[in-house]
Amino acid sequence: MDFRKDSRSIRLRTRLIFYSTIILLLVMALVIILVEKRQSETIHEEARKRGITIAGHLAAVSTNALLTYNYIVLKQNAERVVLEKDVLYVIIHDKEDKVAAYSQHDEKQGMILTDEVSQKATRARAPLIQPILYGEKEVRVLDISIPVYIKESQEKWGTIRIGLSLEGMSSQILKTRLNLLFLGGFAIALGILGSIFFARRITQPISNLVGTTIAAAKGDLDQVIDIHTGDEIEELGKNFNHMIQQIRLHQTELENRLREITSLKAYTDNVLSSMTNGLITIDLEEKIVTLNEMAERILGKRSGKIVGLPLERVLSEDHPLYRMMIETLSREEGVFRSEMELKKDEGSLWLTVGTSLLTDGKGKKLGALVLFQDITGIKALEEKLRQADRLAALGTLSAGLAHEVKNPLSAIKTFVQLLPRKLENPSFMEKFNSTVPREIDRINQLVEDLLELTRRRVHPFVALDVNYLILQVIDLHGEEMEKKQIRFEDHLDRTIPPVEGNSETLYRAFSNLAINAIQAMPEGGSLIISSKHDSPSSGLQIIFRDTGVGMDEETSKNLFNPFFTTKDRGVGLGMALTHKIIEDHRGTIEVMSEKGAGTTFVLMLPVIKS
Amino acid sequence: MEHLSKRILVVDDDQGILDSFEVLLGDRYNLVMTDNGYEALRIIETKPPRLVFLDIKMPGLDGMDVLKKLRKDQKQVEVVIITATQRDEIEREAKSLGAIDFLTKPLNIVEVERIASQILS
Amino acid sequence: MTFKVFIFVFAFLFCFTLLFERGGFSTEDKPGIEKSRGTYRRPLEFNPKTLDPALSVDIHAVTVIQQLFDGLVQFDKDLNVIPAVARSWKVSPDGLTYTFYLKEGVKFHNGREVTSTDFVYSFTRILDPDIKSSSSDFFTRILGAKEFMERKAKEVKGLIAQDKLTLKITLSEPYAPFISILAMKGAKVVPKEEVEKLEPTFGQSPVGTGPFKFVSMKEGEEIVLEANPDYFEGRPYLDKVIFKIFHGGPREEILILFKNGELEDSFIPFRDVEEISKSKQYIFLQKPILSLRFYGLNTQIGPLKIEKIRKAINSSVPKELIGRDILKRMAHLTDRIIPLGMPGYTPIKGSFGYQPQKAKQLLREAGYPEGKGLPPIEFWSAAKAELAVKELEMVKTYLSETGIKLNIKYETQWPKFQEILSSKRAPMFMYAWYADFPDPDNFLWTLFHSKSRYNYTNYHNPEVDRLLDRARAERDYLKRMEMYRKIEEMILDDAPIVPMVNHLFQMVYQPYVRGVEVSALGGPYIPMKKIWLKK
Repeated sequence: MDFRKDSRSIRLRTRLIFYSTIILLLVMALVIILVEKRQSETIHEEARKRGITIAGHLAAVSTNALLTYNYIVLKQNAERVVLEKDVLYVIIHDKEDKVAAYSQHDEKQGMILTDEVSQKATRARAPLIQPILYGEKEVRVLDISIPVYIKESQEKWGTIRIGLSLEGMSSQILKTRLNLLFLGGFAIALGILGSIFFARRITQPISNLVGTTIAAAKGDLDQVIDIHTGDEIEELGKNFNHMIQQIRLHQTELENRLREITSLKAYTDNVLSSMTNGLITIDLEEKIVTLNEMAERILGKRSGKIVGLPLERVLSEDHPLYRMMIETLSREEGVFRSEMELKKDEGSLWLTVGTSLLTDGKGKKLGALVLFQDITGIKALEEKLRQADRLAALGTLSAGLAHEVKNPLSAIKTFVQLLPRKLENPSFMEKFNSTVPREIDRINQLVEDLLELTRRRVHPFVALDVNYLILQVIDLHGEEMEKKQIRFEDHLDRTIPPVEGNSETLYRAFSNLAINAIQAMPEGGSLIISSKHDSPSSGLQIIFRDTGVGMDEETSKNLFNPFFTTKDRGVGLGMALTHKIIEDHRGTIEVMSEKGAGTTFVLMLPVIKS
Repeated sequence: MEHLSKRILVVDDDQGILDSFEVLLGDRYNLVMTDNGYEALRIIETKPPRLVFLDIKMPGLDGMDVLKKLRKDQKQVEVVIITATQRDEIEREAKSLGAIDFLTKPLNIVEVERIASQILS
Repeated sequence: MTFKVFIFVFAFLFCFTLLFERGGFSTEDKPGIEKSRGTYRRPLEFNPKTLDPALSVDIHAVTVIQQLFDGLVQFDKDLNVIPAVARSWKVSPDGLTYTFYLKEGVKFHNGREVTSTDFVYSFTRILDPDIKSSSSDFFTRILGAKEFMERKAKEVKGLIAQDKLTLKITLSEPYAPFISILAMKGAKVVPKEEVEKLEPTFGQSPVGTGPFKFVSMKEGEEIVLEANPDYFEGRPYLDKVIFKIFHGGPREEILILFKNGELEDSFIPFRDVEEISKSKQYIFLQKPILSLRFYGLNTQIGPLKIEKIRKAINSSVPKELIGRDILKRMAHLTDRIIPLGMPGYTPIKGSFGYQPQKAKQLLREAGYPEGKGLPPIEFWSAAKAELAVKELEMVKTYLSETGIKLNIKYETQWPKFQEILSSKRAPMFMYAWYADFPDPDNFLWTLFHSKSRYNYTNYHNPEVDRLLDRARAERDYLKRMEMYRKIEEMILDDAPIVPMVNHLFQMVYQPYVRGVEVSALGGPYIPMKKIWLKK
């Protein structure tokens, strides 16, 4: 904005002057008009009065003369009166209306004047004023006629007429007018000057004030207003100074704050730009407010191009990100998707997306924010890993399988290889007959188990009592447990409802778990098995807990992987099978173990809904 | 050094393997068998054999651990690893730990007999 | 800024002064004496008999005398009495004592200063029974005047020269118009030594104090005057005044001379009045003057003794006709003695007395039915101008119809005519009386008091005389006028005259003539000291 320093002040001054001049002019005009009118009227009135007075006096002194037709005296009187200022003529009519005296017109003496004015005058029975135009120059004259009566008689003894020139009056009026105009003009001039002067005096400080405020607005806060008019403006000036001071103080503060904010912003910007997450914020109108570099890259858009545009336009109405943002805004709470797939031409983009509602400090809704992480790579890696895992698993499986098979095979091979040599040995043959088929069975079982693992067999499900099965398993392994000094703790809840399942496989599962526990306690320990049904809506919970050697994290993680064996566990497929069986039963199995403290298996089986 | 016995220790958690060693070497040598590492170490301590056939994959103390212990304790005993796993690095490690031989299952009886006779005669 | 203020304050003050500006610069141009020296040639209709103010009788003499002499006071154009030689005066409350304070340094034409003694001398002279001044009638009221006039005293007691410049006049009775009388034609101051030196020809070579000095007189032709440089009111504008004398000469002649540029002013014949009045070439002045032209009827001669005959004559004169046809309405017809404009005037009632039937009746009653036995009456006129003749002939005609025969006689030589009149021998005469001062006394007493020398009709009415005398003393103006009215009625009832007209002053002037002031007393009293010529 370009500030002309005094433009506002000049206008104010002009306005002040203009208005005061207008008012002055109006007032003066009014005054002049009124005064002039009054004056004129007065002058008029004076003239008339004077005329009548003169005529009256003349009438008074002429009474005797009229009575005696003393034209001499009447003429003397007339000639004397005509000398009066503004008296143009004096005519005295005798009783018969003949001219007894006519100033400067001696020839008219004795005649009767036939003009209308004279006729009217001589006929009038009361003082009569007739305005006429007299003489060659047609001077404006008041013909003032006074009939002369004597106290004692009703008869009119004569008429006194004087012609009072209004020129003098007119010139006086004119002079008055001129004087008034002069005076008025002068007063106006003085008034204008005065108003200019005073307007200046008033507006100068204002102008200063304006100038200072402009300077201050431009940033120059060192201005101090120095006004000493002793009025409101001075106050204003003082207050302004105070204000400026305050502003200056605040400005410093603000500057500091600004610096803080700037650095904060720089920091935030830095953060935003270096964030590996993409960030988009929108306002209440769904217009994009912020878009960081990562978001740009992820979405393949440039922030310069899309900031300010509605999100809908940038992403499209059915874009999942957009939908999430809208949901956030409407539900006023954040939404989280651990995985979101964005279908693109070159393939899919996988994001972890989280939104939140943006509020100001007071909880007022400002917009929404979405943070997303491109996990496509991760996902891919995950896939690879899974693949690797699968491969590994497969490897492990194969390795495990190989390992499990190699042992029986080696036994069989040895016996077979020794067969020609030790055919005759009956103890050998005994051993041979017991070991070899056994080992072959072992191999066969492995194969069966493997098949079992991969088989999608739908076993016929019946209602089962889990506790019964468990106890059976314990019973089976009772001997071994005893030998290894493993105690069984029965925490089975007898009130549990039946479970839908296959008794054979479920038995197998429980058996594996028991074997696992037993194997974990070579020095002895306790195997605590509990079953409970917490609430009608929950499933059946079965816990196998041992006080064995426990597992490290990696082991417990890969426990259910087939053939996963560490040096500590060599169960082979057992756990994998167990896992599959439980899953077939639509249950879950989880393991918690701590190396040296023991292992706990938590199973959940759905109950029959009755 | 003179070993008082022709004792051979076989350490393997698989019964089949133990049985096969039984028939193979049982009649010529003094065979001691165990299925876990701890036991193995105890036996080596109390009745030191001349030769140990040591499986790797065992619960508890596995073969390598036993080997390390033997090495640490400087036990004068010859160890031959028997394993289903054929892995070069395991072989190398075992050999570096003092194992004199590394046999993979299924075992060859000729190999086994040879080693036995070599060590104990 | 302050400078601006200063300027404005200054301007304000300036304007302020303008507020009080007096308008008016002097408008009139008064000529300096240098500008208008000149000679004024003026016609006199008749040859004046004498230029001695005490003896002058006629208007023609007066015309000249007014330029040569001054009195204590004078009339202005409005007949206000204003100072002349006397600068101020006072009247005692009882109206008997008038004290005049004279101006210092007023000189006679011979150089001598005027003193109050000169006035005592001059007024005493007027009362001198040997001088028989026509003005003496007016001075009879001065204390001791009668005694002096009857030669019972050597001096007039009432005339006292109190000191060099103070004159005291005491009256025997209050005389209301006394001040006006002192402005009269006759009440002039004359130098004793000159009078006594020149006596009786003082009247032919007059010496006075006036604005003009007497130079020469060619008897019957012209009188030449010249400016008096030491005049106490200042030297008059005119260098010379020449009075050209005509002898009742027709006005037409005078007018022709005027038109030829040989006269500065001229009388106007009646028939030329209209034309001249409209003339753009000349200046025409007209004014009614206090005058009465009448036919005098000598109440002591022949049949005119009989009142009824006099009245019959009155009723036989066709005044209106005369006024209309002959006078062309240029004069104011009147039935009265006191002229229009004079205090005491009474307006005309009804038509102008022409009642031939009444006249005839009166004649019959008088014993002269149809004029049988009535001898012709001599009618004397000084005027022989065409119009005058016409008028008289008409009168003669109409009178003869009634039965009165007239014998009209003309005497154009004024002194001779005057002689006839003053000897009271004229049975009927035409005469005009011009006021000397604006007072009815000047007509009624002068013309009709038995003691008045101007009583050419020889009218004697003791009652009238008494009233006239009493009226003179009456100080109440209204009462006085009332008395004069009554007197007039009485006189008219006796019909000693046939009042005809009140004259109009009508003169024409050359366009370069300025300063002509005409009062109601007419032409003779125009102060020539005020006239100047614009060349």
